Amino acid sequence: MPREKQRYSAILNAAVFAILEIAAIIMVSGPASLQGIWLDRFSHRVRAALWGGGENVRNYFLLSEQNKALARENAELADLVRSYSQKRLSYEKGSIYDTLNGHFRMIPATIVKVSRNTQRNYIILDKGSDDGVKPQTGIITTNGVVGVVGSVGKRFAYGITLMNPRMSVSARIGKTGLTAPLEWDGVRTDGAIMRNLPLHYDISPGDTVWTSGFSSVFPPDIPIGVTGRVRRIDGSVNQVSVSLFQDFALLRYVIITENLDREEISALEKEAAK
Amino acid sequence: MRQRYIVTYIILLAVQIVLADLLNLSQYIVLSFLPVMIMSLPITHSGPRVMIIAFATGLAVDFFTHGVPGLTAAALLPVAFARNGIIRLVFGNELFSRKEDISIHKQGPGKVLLSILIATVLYFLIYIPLDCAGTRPSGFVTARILLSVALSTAVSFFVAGILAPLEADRWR
Repeated sequence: MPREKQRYSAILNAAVFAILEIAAIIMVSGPASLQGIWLDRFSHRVRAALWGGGENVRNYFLLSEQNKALARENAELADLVRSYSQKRLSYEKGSIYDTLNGHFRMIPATIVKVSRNTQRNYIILDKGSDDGVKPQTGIITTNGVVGVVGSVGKRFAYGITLMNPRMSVSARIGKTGLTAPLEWDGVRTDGAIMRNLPLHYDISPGDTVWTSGFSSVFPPDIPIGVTGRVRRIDGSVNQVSVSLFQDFALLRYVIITENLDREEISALEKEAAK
Repeated sequence: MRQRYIVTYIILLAVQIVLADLLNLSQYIVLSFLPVMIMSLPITHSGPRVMIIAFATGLAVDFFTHGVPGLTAAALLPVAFARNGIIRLVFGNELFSRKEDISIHKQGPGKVLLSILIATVLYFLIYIPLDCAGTRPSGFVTARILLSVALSTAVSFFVAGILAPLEADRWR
């Protein structure tokens, strides 16, 4: 009898374990159901409310760094104003105005919460649908790319950062013009890598890496970082490490970028796919 | 006594959530004392009960911290499933016959540390590969497991002392 009881107990244990483990693995694979999405949003909202305070304390101690960044940004904006003035002058004289950069709407936002200590980091911003933020819009700073907005609530937007294996950015290496996806290196808060680069391109350490503009999420020509060590992988491709200009440990203010031509581009892509 | 244990468990869970979210040591280190919390649950709890507690604990951590629901729960469940086996392996059957909970003062620091180490290794062997999900080189994953086990085992040993101090007084 006790042996039978033991066997029954072992089967029950195994069954409960299997059911709960499968449920957990399904959850890890992604929120596919409506309930999953609802739970996900609820979780984002709770985290935004819960962790916002803690992040404010941390940001207080980063004020000096932020001031330096703002001063740099002011200088860059002043430069930009000067260059626009020059363009306006040349336009008035009859030159062709540069419209290659597309139409991007910029929404400044403050970070409510950004995670940096896991392999799948996320960001919560204080702007939501009430402020005109839409899903699948970019998050940048003047120092580079930060992430992509995934879901939007009324007052908050939730996104994944570049410090997440689910995200890559189409990037261009300065001198060569070589374009490849840029991903986080998984270790540093200011490190990234570009994989699968053809061997015949000569990539020198110190080249600036820019956004390519090939995706409809990020504007082109945002400086992201500089190239570092080049490694040959399996003798067939190169991999280059990139030191990002934007250290994720110092993030506080960001800009949400919405491509106003995105719907037209998507419609064209769908049309072409038919 | 039972109420005190529940309160301590919830406080430790809250501390784990705060640490998981705010403590940023390195990408190579994950600090977790959840395995020792599961190991320290009363010995009279049945297997399914322990697993349900582990599942709920894991989900609570996932919900409030890194945003990958199910990740901690998936890693903590095998610890709960293997708990009785680990206890038998390290302490023998005596604990079950005497219905005695794991305690540094009763069973000695060596055995408790060994049980914590096995549970922590099991936890991180699942947690870290699942977290990296094939996107990181095996060297990184191995280093992350080793460093996380080392730090978490040390902290867990301290947590084990918090979870069962009253039994120690009773024992003396």
